[in-house]
Amino acid sequence: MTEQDYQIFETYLTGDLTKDELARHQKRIENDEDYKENFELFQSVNNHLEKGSATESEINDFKGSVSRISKEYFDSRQKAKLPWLKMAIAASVIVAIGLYFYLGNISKPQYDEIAQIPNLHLTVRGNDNGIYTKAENAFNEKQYADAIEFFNQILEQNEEEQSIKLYRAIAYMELGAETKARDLFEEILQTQSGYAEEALWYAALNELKVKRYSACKVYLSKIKPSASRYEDAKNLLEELD
Amino acid sequence: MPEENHPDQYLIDGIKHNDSRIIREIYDRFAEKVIQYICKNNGDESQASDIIQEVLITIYKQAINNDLQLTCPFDAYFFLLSKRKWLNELKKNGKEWVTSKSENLSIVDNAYEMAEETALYEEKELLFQEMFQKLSDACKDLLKASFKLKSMEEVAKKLDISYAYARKKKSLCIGKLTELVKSSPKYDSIKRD
Repeated sequence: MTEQDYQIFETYLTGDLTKDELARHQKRIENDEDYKENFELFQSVNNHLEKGSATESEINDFKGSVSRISKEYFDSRQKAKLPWLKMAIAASVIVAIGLYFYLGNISKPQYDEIAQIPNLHLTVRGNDNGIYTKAENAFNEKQYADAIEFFNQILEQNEEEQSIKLYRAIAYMELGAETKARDLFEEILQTQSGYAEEALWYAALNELKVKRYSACKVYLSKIKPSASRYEDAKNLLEELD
Repeated sequence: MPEENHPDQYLIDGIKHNDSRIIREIYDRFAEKVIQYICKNNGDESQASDIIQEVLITIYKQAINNDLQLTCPFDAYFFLLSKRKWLNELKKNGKEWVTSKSENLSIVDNAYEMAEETALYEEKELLFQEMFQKLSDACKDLLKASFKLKSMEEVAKKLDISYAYARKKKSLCIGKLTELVKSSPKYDSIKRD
């Protein structure tokens, strides 16, 4: 490429080419592969420079958050491992007893086998609000009645917190208040929020818990292939059939 | 027609805004699958922790620089990026990749495409940055000023050169940068139609 070619590229990008120059440029793009490739690369480099990037200090801030959260996550994962192992042993004993009684019977999947209630993390450093901490602790300690009260207080301040609505519905479900839970899941399903997809899965579990298998299947079948719960939903649907 | 964003876009937006709550949600919901995968494939938990952090930083950069729009489930996108990074890591260290029978993931929609695009974007960024460093100081200063200041008149004034020379120099410096990029052995891997 000649110096002039680069000047044409630059002038093209600023929209300052004359009619003749533009026509010549377009003709060369059509007929000259090398010219075309160079022009496209020039454009791509120019875009890259133009858009700019996250600054060093922004990236460092982000790295700092990720590294702190990663540490918290892996620490809590370590702690969770032992009780999990105990639970697994206990669960396998229960399964063995279950098999003993139900051998030969085809049993439907149970809520307790499927439902994994995630831990709730509402508090972040620098954003520590008393009510969020209380809600988080109560939920994670399975004090669902308390958690619901705190969730309600949060929602009084900000009724649009969809994640809180979802966890409140899960708390009702865990308490065995399936009708209330159903209403609340339905309410979330009416919204277009990112939590609507997740709500479908828990709404299905809510029905599974009270053995309303057909309602459960209706919710499951609404989970789109693009949802992250799709695979779980498909498996559960197969087991229910 | 532009594709509609996936409902999981809020996770990308959360990353973009360095929202600790969203980052924690991503760990809680999606990290385990990646950890399992890496541990089954010649790796351990601490390596998984590194890969996850790197993937999040990749997504952050793309969200900021390129206004990343998610058109597939975050789950699949995040997993594919992690997997790709881990396989590169294994390759770098001459280790074997154990194929696992089931990755327990239904990869749907255009998740592969999105992950591929992000990976390509990252390679391009790195290559452009690397080559930028090889430019002369005069070019570096001029380009930095041209993309920071609003007009080339301002650039000319700041660098105490004429307007015409500033514009000419700008085109030549970008031209030089494209030549450096083209001459790199890595150029082939970012070239894709």
